[in-house]
Amino acid sequence: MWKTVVRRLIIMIPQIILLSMLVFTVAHFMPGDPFTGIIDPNVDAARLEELRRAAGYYDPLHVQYFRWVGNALQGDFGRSFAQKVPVTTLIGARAMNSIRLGIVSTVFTYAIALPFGMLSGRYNNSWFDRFVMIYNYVSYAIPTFVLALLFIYIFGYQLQWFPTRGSASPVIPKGTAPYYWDMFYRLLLPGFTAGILGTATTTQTLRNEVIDAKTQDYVRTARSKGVPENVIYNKHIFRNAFLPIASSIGFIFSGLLNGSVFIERIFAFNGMGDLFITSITSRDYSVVITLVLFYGVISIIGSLVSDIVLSLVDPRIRIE
Amino acid sequence: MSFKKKFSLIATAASAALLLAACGGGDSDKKGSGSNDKFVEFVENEGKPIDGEKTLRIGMVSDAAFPGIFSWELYSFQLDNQLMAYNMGNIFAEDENYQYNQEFVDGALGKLSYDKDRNVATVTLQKGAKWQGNDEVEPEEVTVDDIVFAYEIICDPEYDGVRYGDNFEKVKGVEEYHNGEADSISGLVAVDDYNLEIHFKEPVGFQVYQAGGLVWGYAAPRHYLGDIPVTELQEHERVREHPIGFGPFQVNKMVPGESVEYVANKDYFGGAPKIDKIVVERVPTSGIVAALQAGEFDLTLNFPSTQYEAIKDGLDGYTILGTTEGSYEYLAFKLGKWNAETGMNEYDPNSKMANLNLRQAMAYSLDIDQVGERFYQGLRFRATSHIVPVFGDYMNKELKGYPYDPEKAKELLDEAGYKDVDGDGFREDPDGNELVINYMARANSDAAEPIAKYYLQAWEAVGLNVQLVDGRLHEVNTFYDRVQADDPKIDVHEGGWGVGSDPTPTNLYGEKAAFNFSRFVDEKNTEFFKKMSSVEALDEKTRYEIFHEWQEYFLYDVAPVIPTIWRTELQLVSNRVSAWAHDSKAGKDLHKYGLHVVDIVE
Repeated sequence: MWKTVVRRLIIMIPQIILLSMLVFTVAHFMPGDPFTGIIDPNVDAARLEELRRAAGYYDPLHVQYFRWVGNALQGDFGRSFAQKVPVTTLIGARAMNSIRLGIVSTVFTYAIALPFGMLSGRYNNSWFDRFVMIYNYVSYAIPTFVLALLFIYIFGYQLQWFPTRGSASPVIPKGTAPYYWDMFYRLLLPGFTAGILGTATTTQTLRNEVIDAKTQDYVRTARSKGVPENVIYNKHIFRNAFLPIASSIGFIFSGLLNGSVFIERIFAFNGMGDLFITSITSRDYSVVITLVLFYGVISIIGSLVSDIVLSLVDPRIRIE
Repeated sequence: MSFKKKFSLIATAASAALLLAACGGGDSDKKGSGSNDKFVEFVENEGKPIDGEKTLRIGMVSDAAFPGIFSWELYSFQLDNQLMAYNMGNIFAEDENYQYNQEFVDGALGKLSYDKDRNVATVTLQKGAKWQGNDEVEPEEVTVDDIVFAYEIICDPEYDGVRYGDNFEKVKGVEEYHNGEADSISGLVAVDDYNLEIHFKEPVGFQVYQAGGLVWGYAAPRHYLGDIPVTELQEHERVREHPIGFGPFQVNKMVPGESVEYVANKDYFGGAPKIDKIVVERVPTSGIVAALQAGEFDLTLNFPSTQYEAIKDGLDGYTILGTTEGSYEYLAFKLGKWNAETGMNEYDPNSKMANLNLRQAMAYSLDIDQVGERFYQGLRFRATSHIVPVFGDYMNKELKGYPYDPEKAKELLDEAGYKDVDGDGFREDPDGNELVINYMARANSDAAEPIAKYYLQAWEAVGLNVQLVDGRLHEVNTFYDRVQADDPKIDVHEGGWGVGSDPTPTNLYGEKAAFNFSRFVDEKNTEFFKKMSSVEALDEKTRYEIFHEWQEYFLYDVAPVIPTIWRTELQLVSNRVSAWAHDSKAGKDLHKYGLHVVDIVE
């Protein structure tokens, strides 16, 4: 297996090079540049040109590309034109927020989807199953911002259980225990919202798999041997039904880092999704390129992780 | 209260919030158009100060994070400008025409004078004002050397911000310093710690007194930032996390991009503030109304006009302040080309839109008042001049702009020979050739599409065949890219400018202005601009006259660019705040509305 992993990692290199070229070219074909947004007629045209030239904007694209690659190999991905900090610093800070939010929402997703999927599969056509089906349709169909605003209204303002915005308290002193508790507490509402939105696929897949498995020979064998019904479901069926979900675990992992633009914007939560959109509209090339590349790399790694996980949980699958 | 870029593009709805170099103002009772009369600009709430800790809670509406560059020299986004208003401090106060104070007044650390004969401006500081101290540095006195330091940051050869420009180059020695040929700026002479002489290369006009004009109105703490290379300043923690200033409040804690907590600066030179804390929190557009209904904020920044519907009948516990925003939208007609080599605009008298009647007719065909009512709940209204009401006496209040008058539009077109010769319902040009006018519109809001459609219909109603460029609206970056490049497909476009605190329009309409998108140039206009910056214009009366004459000339006699829409900017203030003047109101009485005198009452 390790041979395969190494081989996959080596294949990643040309993939990343291709991706970087593509991203770099496409980014520079976008109309406008970082100065289109910060145009200030008080700056004479000559000054703007001076800034563009200083940023290397007029060099041929391949020159810019190789300069960028040279710097990137040394860990320097350039500076954000808008935020005026190194791109790595910027992404680092935002990524932490997105990861924290991603973890909480993933926990919520599975905490809801696994029991829902298992139980509705086990008792299919019961009232509970019908409820889960309706829940699935609704959670799948509801637009993110509608659910987010609804939850803010209900849990934030009507019940006043949760703060409605921000990733940390503006007033509690940094580094104290209440500060970290508050940070965690602030993750719950956006995490729950994002979690619910992610449940439909998992629930549905699990339910179908369970219904399928119920009639399988190995289940009948177990039953005839007198294995208790709970054990059959929680051990035998669950392990098999979980396979297709396990295969997507790597993508869930990469999804953690992507962030969600809607959730982040509505909850004023500074994450990667918001950064990505803001950088695109302000033509902040260095950030856009680095982010796309970063997303590319983590999806490649994500699919590798999925394969590995799959081979671990299902002994029948061997990656060669 | 603060430095504003002279102008800035009004970009997308999202980036407008970031970029708008907004500064409203204008006295409602002096106003020509009067559409803003339903709002007040000031509020006072009676009551006795509350016991215990007093916190002013401010909701800053923005869907994107603020960068958090606490430096007047380095910041580029409006959000940062707003955050600096509480802690950084200004050297001067501005009157309602955005002129710096020439005598010491409440809330201003310094005063400014200009000696015409010597061609020298002098900045004089009060003694005893201190920079704030923190864990790393003791409080130190603010001296004119800190102003010199601010100049040195902006004029540094390595400086990569947007502030540097020809305004600075008018000071002796700045160019040499910027080119790396000199170690100091020879035109800045510190007479002592409290007096700074600024020597100009050539005689200067009233812009010397104008905020955002020829004198930099801010100081930077040399003892705190002096050892940091200019290129590293903007990412340094002393600028981004632990900034110091000499304003009434001091940054205490920050969640990057989200919130800032300030505490009172007891040593503020204007007197210790009555409030203990200010907390500014970023709120998404979608959340501001609910937050206000729950009483979470005492004050809003950048209240979005799209949320006005929800509060237009008033909001319990709040006063809605409104003032005309320092910005306008305009129709610009392409009348020439930009010559990048000479750095000049070249007017082409044979261009499609060169006929004055045609341009005026297009303006008269639009019912802008209706657009404002229908699409913006009356928060936008018809502009009557290129100088916005914010600029007080500079604005020519006699002008009426282009009120909706389709009959007049038809007359103008008939008179100029634009007639429907082939009977297809559309007018042909005076030579009888088919006339199709290409209109470029921005996709900058939900209302953009219906408004553009309305424009096309209104023009069709007077017999003009106007089509959208490429048959659709354009994303804002693309829009300005093509407008700036004089794309031959564009005959007319509607854009927007955010004006700063200097009314001089040379950089928008001058012969050397790259942002003169119509590319219109004529001698008389150039003459006006010369006069505006001349020594004669130092005289107030003369200056206002020149501005008024120019506005009339530019609006009616040549009309290469026609202003369409002005906006109302709202600010909500809770009844807990003892007194507040709309943030965008210039020349407010700091004795009454200054941050250090405002209290929290019950």
